[in-house]
Amino acid sequence: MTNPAIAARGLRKSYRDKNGEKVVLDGIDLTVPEGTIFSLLGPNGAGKTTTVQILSTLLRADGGTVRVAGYDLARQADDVRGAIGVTGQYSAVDKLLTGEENLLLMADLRHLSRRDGRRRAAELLDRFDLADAGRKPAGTYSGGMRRRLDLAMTLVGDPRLIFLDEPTTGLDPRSRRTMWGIVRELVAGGVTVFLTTQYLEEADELADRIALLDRGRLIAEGTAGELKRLIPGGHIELAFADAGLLDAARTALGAGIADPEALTLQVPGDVGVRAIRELLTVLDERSIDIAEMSVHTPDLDDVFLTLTGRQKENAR
Amino acid sequence: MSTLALAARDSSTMVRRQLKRMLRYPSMTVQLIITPAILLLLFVYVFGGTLGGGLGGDRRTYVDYIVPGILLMAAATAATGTAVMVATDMTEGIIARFRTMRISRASVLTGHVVASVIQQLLSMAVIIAIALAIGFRPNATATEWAATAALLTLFAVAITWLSVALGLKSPTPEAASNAPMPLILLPFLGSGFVPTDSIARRPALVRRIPAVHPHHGDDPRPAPRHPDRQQRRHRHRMVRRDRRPLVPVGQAHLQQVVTDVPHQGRQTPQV
Repeated sequence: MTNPAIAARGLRKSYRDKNGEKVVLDGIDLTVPEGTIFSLLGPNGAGKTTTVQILSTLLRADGGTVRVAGYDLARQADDVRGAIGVTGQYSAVDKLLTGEENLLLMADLRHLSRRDGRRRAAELLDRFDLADAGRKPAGTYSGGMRRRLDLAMTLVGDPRLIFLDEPTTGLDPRSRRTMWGIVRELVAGGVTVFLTTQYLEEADELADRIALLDRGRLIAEGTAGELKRLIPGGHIELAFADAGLLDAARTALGAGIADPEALTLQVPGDVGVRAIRELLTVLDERSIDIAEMSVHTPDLDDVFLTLTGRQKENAR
Repeated sequence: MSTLALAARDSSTMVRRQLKRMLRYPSMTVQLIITPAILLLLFVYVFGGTLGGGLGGDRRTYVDYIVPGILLMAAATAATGTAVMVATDMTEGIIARFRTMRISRASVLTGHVVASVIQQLLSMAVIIAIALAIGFRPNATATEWAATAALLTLFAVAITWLSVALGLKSPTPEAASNAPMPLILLPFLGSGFVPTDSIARRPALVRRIPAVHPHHGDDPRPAPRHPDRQQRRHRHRMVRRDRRPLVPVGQAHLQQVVTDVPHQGRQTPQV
């Protein structure tokens, strides 16, 4: 790609607080080709939101060079703002105004003419299934409706590049599917989407390329398929009746990640029938009773598990 | 479009947004108007007879005396609303959205200020209407009314920017609603409700509050209560603050312009 939508080199950011300096982003390189969905995936506190805030001109980076939509982030921030649309993690609608008024407000701020603004607002209300609620204050909307309005407001000025910061966090499964549909339509129209999520399923479902962010560093990048290929198989999860058995099993197998609270052991690797039989034989020989066993075919959770040596939930 | 034209356009968009918000949230606006109105009625009908007597007249005299003070209080009360509105805005995500858009940066605050000034002028108009209904009889000329309106507008602009600053600095909307409280109380301590020389025994701290009125202001330099103590202190301090009270433009000129009470009437509190 000669002209990527986002090109970042060595992006750094740290905060100072009473515990000293906290590095949030520790040298991140990103390249997002135009017209694709790029997903930044990571647990809470990995630095996803900070990345979006820097790329969308809300925060200043401490170091690194970034070009967004062809403009230099540091020197042409206003041009960047003219080209992007941002839907943050927290609802950015005016709750006292109606859905329609919110959209018209955006149209005015994007300097559309009155007629174009009205046409665009009506179109977006229709498209996002908000036509009936258009004249009600946004404060009365449900979570899913508010999120849709939020995204509709972002789209008023037809931005070429859209940032979605955890667009489906807190949504029910149905609203989440609706949101996914909307994102796919956007990209079909040639828009570039930069998406952050903590749901592996979401990145798997939507993204052309995925970057795994952990503690301010990118630990892997590629297509969902490439990332899955990084690990040979899924994992086998074993549950035990007590901590003694758990320890014994871990020692016997010489691999796996133990969770002493849940009394489970996750053994990454091949999950074929032969491998399972071998594993069971090893444990049987040492008379280690297994309370429960389940087999997981590889998904992105396993990538995370393998690459960080930690479970996603504990990765803060 | 030029930068300035864009800024003007964005600002007018933001003013419309604020006015709509005020309409959608009328309880706040109503409360901001009712508070000074109740104080006006309270002072005129409960204390007005006695206080008017002190001015050498009756309740009528007192209505004429108190209205300017209440007008300033109305502006200060409405400014509380501005501080709350600004603080609320800052806690919500929409400000982040504005910051990622190519719009004039100042337009958000300009929107707050202009809408708030409009609200304050409305509130003051309601107060004047109530005052007229209960016996306020100014005999100002059209020019004097225009001057009054201009002065009140300037005052409203000034106090609104101050409360915008307070709103921005407040961590929560609740804190923002407390911050401008002193502004509301100032007319009590100054000459808004009673002539300042009628409160000769006000505590020293209160006496310091600029309470000047062309006709019944404090002695510009009140005699110290403990001269010897002050002198001792003087020796220890290299630099002393200038103790001359500052003149608040609003109140002093207002009372002159709006009311027409004979000067002698206000001067001596012959109780």
